Amino acid sequence: MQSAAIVGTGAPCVAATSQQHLCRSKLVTQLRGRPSVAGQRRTLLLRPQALGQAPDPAAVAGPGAGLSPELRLAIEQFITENKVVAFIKGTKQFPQCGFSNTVVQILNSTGVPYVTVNVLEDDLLRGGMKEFSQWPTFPQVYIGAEFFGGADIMIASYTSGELSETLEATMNA
Amino acid sequence: MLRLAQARLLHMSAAAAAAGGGAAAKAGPIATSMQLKLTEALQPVSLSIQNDSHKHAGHSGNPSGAPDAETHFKVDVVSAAFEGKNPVQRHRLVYQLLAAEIEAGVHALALKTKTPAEAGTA
Repeated sequence: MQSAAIVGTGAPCVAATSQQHLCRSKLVTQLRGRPSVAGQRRTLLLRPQALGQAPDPAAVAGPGAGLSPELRLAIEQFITENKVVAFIKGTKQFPQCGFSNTVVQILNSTGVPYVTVNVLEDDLLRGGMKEFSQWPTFPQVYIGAEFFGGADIMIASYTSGELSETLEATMNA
Repeated sequence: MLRLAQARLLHMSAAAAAAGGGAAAKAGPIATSMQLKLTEALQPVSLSIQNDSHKHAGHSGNPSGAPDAETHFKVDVVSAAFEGKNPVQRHRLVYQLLAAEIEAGVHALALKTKTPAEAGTA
């Protein structure tokens, strides 16, 4: 399994609590501005091929009233460090919204390692993600540091086979 | 005579019930506004807006579960405006058009966005 390398901390998210804790600690730590920790993690976690991947310009464009430069940077780092990220309501084990649950079930069925971030834990993050992605709802799925879509796009691309193609290309990149 | 009056009364109440039923099934203000905006901006070949709020009653997006809640919608649009756009761009376009409705309490839009060619209506 590549999961350890991809998740980065050597602790792929298996239990709800550790999953929740990992995601919270990483993003929220960066949110609260502890650059030394964030910087250290970045050096540790960023894989060479990920460095070359520019974040989706559309997602990064536009000055945001509710999205601070620090949060933007933290999100960019997070989606670069983790190849597949789902920003959802609730956790992998306990999604708190039908649409988030759908996305979790789809990602589970693909077998790829992925991390989830619970946007219900942090209003700043929740608001920031809407702006960052230019997408007003959750879930939001990032694959290879690019915004892939919400629940409808996940369902449609899962059905069409496009999701597996994108995932495969990203995991082998 | 009495029978006739009763029949009349029955007829009237049936008409009233029909009118009431019609009103309840009518699109709410948010659905109407979504319909207007999408029609104007996208000139869709077809547009269907279905209120699914009742399926989410008690859920965080529709806590009241009121029968006339307008929180969850299923929107199917077929429009030439989607040509040359990927799914993310299409959905973003719809979200931008409906920003005011989302701000006003629409919690979720299940979107299907197709071009006339994709929908087979071209």
